[in-house]
Amino acid sequence: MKILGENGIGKFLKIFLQICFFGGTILLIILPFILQIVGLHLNATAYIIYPNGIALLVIVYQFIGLFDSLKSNNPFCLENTKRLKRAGVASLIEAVLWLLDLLVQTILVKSFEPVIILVLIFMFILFIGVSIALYILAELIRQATTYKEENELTI
Amino acid sequence: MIVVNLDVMMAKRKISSQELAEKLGITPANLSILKTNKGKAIRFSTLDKICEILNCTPGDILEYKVTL
Repeated sequence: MKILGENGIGKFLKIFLQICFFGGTILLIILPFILQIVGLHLNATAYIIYPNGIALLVIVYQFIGLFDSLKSNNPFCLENTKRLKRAGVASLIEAVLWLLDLLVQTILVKSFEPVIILVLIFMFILFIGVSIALYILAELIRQATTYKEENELTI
Repeated sequence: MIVVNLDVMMAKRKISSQELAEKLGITPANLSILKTNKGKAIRFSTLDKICEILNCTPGDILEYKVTL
């Protein structure tokens, strides 16, 4: 399967991420109305959906740019390093938010439901891992960009 | 820093960029990178050809300038 180029997988992933981005944005906007219709309202912990959602949208937005560069056959550029770093920061924020949610659940709400606690711990560890992975990837892309530039500028 | 004085030698030998690029077997864009000091490195083979075509030594093309 073709990865780079106009008809590569990057193009289709970009379209998929664009749908996720716009769908997510619309969902975040209409969420209170949906909850109102179903007869639920946002409680203290449910409010964490918003910063979480925004951080996720930031990650998705950065990946749209990343796949756009795959489409244009230029994956090794400094802009992609910045994109991955931004996604890494957003992922770290996401991890902190899950930790906050865990603290709110256990300290403020005093809910010790094992499934919820386990899910929150899992999400925290997952986003910490994603954040570290994105930072490493950003550094790899930066080094690859430097080598590529050096190679291109050797006459 | 290393400065490439290729344009000076080209003017002395009265050779155009297009002609030199053709003789070197590189693109005019790459020659322009070399002439404008934007290049990061130069291959010995390229330097060898330049010296052969312009009938000069590497010292005529490359110069070390102290940067402050």
